[in-house]
Amino acid sequence: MGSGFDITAEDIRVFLDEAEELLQAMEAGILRLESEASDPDPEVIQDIFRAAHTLKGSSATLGHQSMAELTHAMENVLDRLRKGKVSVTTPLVDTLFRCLDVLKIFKDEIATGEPAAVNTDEVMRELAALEGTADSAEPAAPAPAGGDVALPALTPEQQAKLEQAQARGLKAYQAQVALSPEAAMPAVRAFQALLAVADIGQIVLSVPTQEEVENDQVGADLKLLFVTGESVEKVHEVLREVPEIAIQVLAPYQPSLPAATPGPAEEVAAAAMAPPASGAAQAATGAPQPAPGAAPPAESNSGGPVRTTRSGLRTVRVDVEVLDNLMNTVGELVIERTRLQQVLSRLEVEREGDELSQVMSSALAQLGRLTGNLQEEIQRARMLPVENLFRKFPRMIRDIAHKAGKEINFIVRGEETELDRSVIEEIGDPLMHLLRNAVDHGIESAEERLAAGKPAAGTVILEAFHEENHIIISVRDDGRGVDPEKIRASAVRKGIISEEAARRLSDPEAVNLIWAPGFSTKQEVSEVSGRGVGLDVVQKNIERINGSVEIRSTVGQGTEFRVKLPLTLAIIRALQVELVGTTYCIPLGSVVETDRIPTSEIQTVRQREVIVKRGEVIPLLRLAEAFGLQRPEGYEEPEEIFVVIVAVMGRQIGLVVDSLIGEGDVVIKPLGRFIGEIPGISGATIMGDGDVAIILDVSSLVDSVQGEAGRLETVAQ
Amino acid sequence: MPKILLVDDAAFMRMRCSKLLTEHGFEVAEAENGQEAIAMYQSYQPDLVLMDITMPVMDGITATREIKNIDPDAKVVMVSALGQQTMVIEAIKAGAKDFVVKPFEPEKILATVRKFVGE
Repeated sequence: MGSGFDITAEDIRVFLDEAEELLQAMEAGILRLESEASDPDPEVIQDIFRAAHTLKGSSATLGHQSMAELTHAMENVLDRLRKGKVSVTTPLVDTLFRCLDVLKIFKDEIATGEPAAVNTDEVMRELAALEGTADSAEPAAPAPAGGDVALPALTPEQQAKLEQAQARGLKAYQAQVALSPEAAMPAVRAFQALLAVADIGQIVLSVPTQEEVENDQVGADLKLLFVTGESVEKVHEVLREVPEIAIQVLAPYQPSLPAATPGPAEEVAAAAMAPPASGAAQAATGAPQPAPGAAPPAESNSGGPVRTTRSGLRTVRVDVEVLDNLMNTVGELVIERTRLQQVLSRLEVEREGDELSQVMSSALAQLGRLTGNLQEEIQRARMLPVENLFRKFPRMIRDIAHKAGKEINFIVRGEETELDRSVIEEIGDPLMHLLRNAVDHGIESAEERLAAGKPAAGTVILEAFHEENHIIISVRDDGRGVDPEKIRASAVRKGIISEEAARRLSDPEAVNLIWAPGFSTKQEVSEVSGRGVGLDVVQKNIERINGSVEIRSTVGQGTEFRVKLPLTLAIIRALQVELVGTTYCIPLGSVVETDRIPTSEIQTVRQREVIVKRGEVIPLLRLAEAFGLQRPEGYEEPEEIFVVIVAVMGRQIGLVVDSLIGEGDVVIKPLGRFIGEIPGISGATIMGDGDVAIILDVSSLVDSVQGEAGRLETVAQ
Repeated sequence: MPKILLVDDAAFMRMRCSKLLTEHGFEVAEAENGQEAIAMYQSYQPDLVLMDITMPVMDGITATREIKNIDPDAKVVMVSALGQQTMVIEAIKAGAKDFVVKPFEPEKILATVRKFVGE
């Protein structure tokens, strides 16, 4: 028995995954705590507490003592915070952050298996100090309530209670049970003993009292005086149900004995007087009983079929490597299918019209679809919301801003945008660098900002969104902007470009000098990042994953870095519509609403069809016409049209479609280089039935109508 | 095969415990919080519930109380971290039969489980 508790690699992996999530949750929580210091949300404290608590349990199970101890100490402080005994102060937040840092190191330690020389003394001291700011700490040392104290004198009420019960024919017993020194929670055992006795009788008095037990004030044993109609055997039986206690004394309460203060000598006498023929005799030995489970019956049906029901879970964690392997396997499957296809072609030539080759042909077609689906599903499984990546930035920004003595509003948008896992892994460092750059160099000092008529606090926005066939991650600041003149001078000084060449550059070209190797390797960059990389490395890293990065900057107003990432694997949620018998997908992110509108409500303004909704003029775009689709002969326009109202950057247009099909997730596939880029179309997808559907590029459709739209609004007013 | 409902918000703990129990001939279902546990108690009808105390959505004590409301004969054993004595007492008041301490030793948990779902 008890084979299964050695730690496997799988255990560690699950632990690490979960720890990562918990640490992120903790970090997000602490950041919120800091921003709402004056009025902290109890939920946030509870979240941090829970993360610490769960981590404590898991790390202890894993055998990482220091991690368990640290989380335990954190828990104590958080508990005080939760109870309002301490308030959210800067030292408290700082300490929590330091704990978090240490926990991260511990996590890495577990991941790499290499002990990191981290000393928790200091942070533990800080926690202890925070904890000590009010009353006593953890109830570590049990109060010496029990000990050898014998039953105290009965109060008049207790005496009366006892006499009444005896008058009703109930018998009085006294008992002493030892709480096993091994017991993890002696108070719970004492409470269970009290409960067991109260279940069959009435407790006249107990040492410690029930209240003390509930407050975890127990000593080595529990002494009881109680009345019951049950036999001593029965009392014995119920008490033996309670684990980790040993019945030392269980005897009728001797009315002849003085009710008050029986000394130890009497106790022994009472034990000796345990009624013969009762099971109590064995109990009187005083030796702790073995824990009830210590000698369980031999295992039965081991090795039998074991079924696990997991109806509570809808997700599983999978190693990326597994997905990669699956992907490779599918790739090979596709190659094998192609080979079979070649065999089939030969068969068809040699044995024309043969029934077998026909069967094979249809099976191959089916196989092709299935491998396609498989490939798609695996790609889909590789997608992750960028949230996982974005979550670590607020903390980083906070630290850098503190260090630089700047105040920064950091705004994150579009966290739900999904990217392929491998892209997310690669993009973390470059983004971190761009963000750091924004805080360090983009945002001016508070004085400088105030002098320029800006708010003292700078704003940095990190945003992810879809644009045509790409994902854009934008890092934007409202800082000083990049001055082309200064860049020219700096580049010349650093010997990157000659003075003459610099003069010939246009302003945008000059700004792009920042990407030149050797241009941006500032001291503080290497200090914060730990590796002295410049923007050239950022660019290289992004290009390595087929992305690109560009800078847009206005002097005095701010800078935006736009990282454009490939979307070949991206998935979007799309509204599917029908247009002349074909399915088209409209990314749901840009859909405002769908509506059925009688054609009579369509108005014409400057040769453009429009509808008016809630006082807003919305230009219509008839997609079938825009794409030049041929209507079948005899087509008549229905009296009502379906309009999908889409918006990009606040500009709305109504797309006229034939009908609405529904919504679902689609995997964007590029149209391929044969087709090239078609305005209004960002890609295609293969639907569940194998049909190809076109994915519309809403922003370019809006752009195509936009110029007129601006004018239309003025006309309407 | 005795059926155990394992309630814990920590996937790691669930995994380890579930592995241990299935290896020893128990059927195991899992729930992530008290609320899920109540729903699953009714659908899965376990012989024993192993219930964590601190969980999001609904804590283990409330869930124990609810489950005992639904089925007074329900057998619930708390899974508790050290230092939660008063909470365990609360849970026992709510009707829990016993507790095991995290990080649990396999022998202890098996013994406790077997005590309540005697084979």
